[in-house]
Parts: sequence; C-alpha cells; structure tokens
Amino acid sequence: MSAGYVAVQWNPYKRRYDAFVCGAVVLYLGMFGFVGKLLFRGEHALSDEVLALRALGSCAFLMLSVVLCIGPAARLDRRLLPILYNRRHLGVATFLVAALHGALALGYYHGFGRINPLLSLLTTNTSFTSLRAFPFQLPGAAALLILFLMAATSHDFWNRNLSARLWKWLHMLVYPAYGLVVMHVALGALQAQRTWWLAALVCACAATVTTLHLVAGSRERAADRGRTSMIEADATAWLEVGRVDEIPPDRARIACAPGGERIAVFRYDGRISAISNVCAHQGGPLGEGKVVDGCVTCPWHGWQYRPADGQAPPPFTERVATFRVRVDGRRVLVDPNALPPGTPVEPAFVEESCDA
Amino acid sequence: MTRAHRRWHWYAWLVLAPLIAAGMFAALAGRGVPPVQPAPASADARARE
Repeated sequence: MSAGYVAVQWNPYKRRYDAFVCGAVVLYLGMFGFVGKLLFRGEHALSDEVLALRALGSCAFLMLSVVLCIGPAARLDRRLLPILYNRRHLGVATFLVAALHGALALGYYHGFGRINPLLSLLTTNTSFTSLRAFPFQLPGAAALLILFLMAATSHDFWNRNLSARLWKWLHMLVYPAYGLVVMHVALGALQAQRTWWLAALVCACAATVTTLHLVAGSRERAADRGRTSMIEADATAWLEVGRVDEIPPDRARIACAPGGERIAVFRYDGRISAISNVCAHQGGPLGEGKVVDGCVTCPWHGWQYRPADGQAPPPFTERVATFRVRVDGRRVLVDPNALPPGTPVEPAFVEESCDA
Repeated sequence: MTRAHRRWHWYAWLVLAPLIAAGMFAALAGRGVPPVQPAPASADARARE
C-alpha cells in the first residue's frame, strides 16, 4: 500500500524472489541448450534457433503452469501464501519468456518471405480440419496476446484506473489463455515430437493445474453454501458467527451470509467489528489477515482498513462495507445487510477474560 | 474475492478441465503410430549374409 506509484514495487523479499526466478529461468534455458546439444547430434542435430525456440517455449509453458497452480495451492495450504504475494512478478516474467519464444518463431519461420510476417502467420496455414497439420501457431498467438494484456495492465496504476472489478475480470482471461497454450502445445510440439516423456510432462502439467483448481474451487463453493444459523432479534435476522472465544485475538472469523458476500468479523482490543471480506485492492480475503497497528491488514498486499469504519487510514481513501455487530451472551451476531463502504459502526465490546 | 469471482472460477474450470482433457486425448490419439525407422544399412547387410 503506497500513496503514489513506483515503476516496480520491490522490497527485499520481492528482490530475492525475482532474483531466484531469473536465476531459475537462465539455468533452465542453459540446461536445455546443453542437454539438447548432447542428445541431438550428427544428422539429428538441431540448429541453435530451433533449440532456443524449444527452450523458451517449454520454459514459458512450465512457468504458466506454475503461476496457475499458486492460487489454488495457497488456498489449500496457507504455508504457500508468501509465493502468492509475488505471483504478479512471475506472471510478467512468464509473458517475457513467451514473447521471446513468439518473436523468435515469427522471425525464424515467417520472417524471410515477401509478405509481412504477421500476415504470413495468419494466412499461410489454413488446415483447420486436420489435427496433424492444424495451424497450432494461432492459439499460441492468441494466448500471447492475452498474456500481453495482462502484463501491460499488471501495475497498480491500471488496477486503480480500470477499477478492481474490471481488472480482476481481465486477469481471469488467463484461464482461457492456458487452454489455448495447451492446444498450441498439443497440436504443435506433441505432433512433431512423439517421445512419450514429452506427452507425459504436458499431460501432468495440465492435470495438476486443473485438479488443483477444481479441488480448491469445490472447497470454496462448499464454504459459500455452508449451513448458516440465523437468529431473529430487534426485527433483524442476525447471522450467528460463533462464540467470542472462537475468534483469536487480532484475527477474524469469516461468516458466509446466505447469497451474499463473506463477512470478516474481527476481535481486537476487547471489541468486535465486522467488515467486508473483500479487499478494495484486488479482492484479497481480509478475514485471513490480522489487525496490525489497529488496522485490518490484507494478507495479499498489505492494504489496511480501520475495523470500526472500514476506511483506510489517511492519506489513503479506500473503503470497504461494514456490518452491524452485537454480542448476545457469548455468541457473536452480525447483521448480514452491508452498510455503505466506510460507514462507522459501534463495535461490540467483549470481556477479554471470558476466553479462559 | 467476491462470490461472483469464485463462481466464475468454478465454472471456468468445470468447462476447461474436460475441454483440456478431451483436447489432449484427441491430439495424442490423432498422432497415430510413429513411423517405423528403417534398419541401418549395415544391419541389412548382416541379415543378408
């Protein structure tokens, strides 16, 4: 969270992470080239350009698979959350490697003719009904275009100016992009190279990505559809969140309002407050964060909000919805009707000694 | 994430997963049997001897 924009939001952790990613990419490309030269010799020898094409393409495919695994894996195991915080840089690095692969392929296969290379790419092969001769470059180019849009709008400047909602929708295009990349590989590399291990590697990557997403998605869906207990009081249907002592100090318990958004109910300094679980930045789960310096801190990028009014501390202006709270005996109840973002709500006071 | 985003995630992968699986199957099945490599000339010669 910052008051202004900087080109790249680096901190010591992100620098280390980016250095690791750069090192891993260079090592992979070097190893690929070295092993490729050893394996393909004599009449089967590959030119440097083709080796570089394969190295960059396989590297981009593996990187995109890893990027897509991070989100659901972090939802299934919270120890992976630190990787999630740095996912954006890995995504941009993936685009750069994929763009190098695309540029090299365009120049090598379409750059020496009389027509424009891009026009050549789009018009040369029209065997759309053949599996073996399908113009596999087209799904690859479409995926690269999506990755470009994502990388170009990855900065917080675009997040703020496009609105968090539109930004998130735009960046979810990475899923169809992955489908296009798998199509590109299956109709391209897997048709030319018939080694079993290559097919097994591609299948394993695609299976891991899809399985992780389906498992994490079904778990989230079950949480959204979970049974909720409503209590009628003061002409309001209150949502029962749980007992006071079930909320750890400076942490939250997440309640799922029937048909509505999730609510993060925080306990801090002997008080209970409820705000939307959706961060105004990128929709991060505020209820999985904690109260730091009196402010709820989003676990994704550290954006902060005051628990009693859902407003970011000055000079920031972001706001999230708040909810009325009451404590009945030791039960915490929340009015599931959201108040306008930034509305101050009197916290419910609790006896801290009742935890014992 | 909002509820709508979670729902979108779920349906996107519910559609993508079988599409990817079917696509991979079709692409691998469509490759057919790999061509048989001709035996080296020296092996042919040995066989004739």
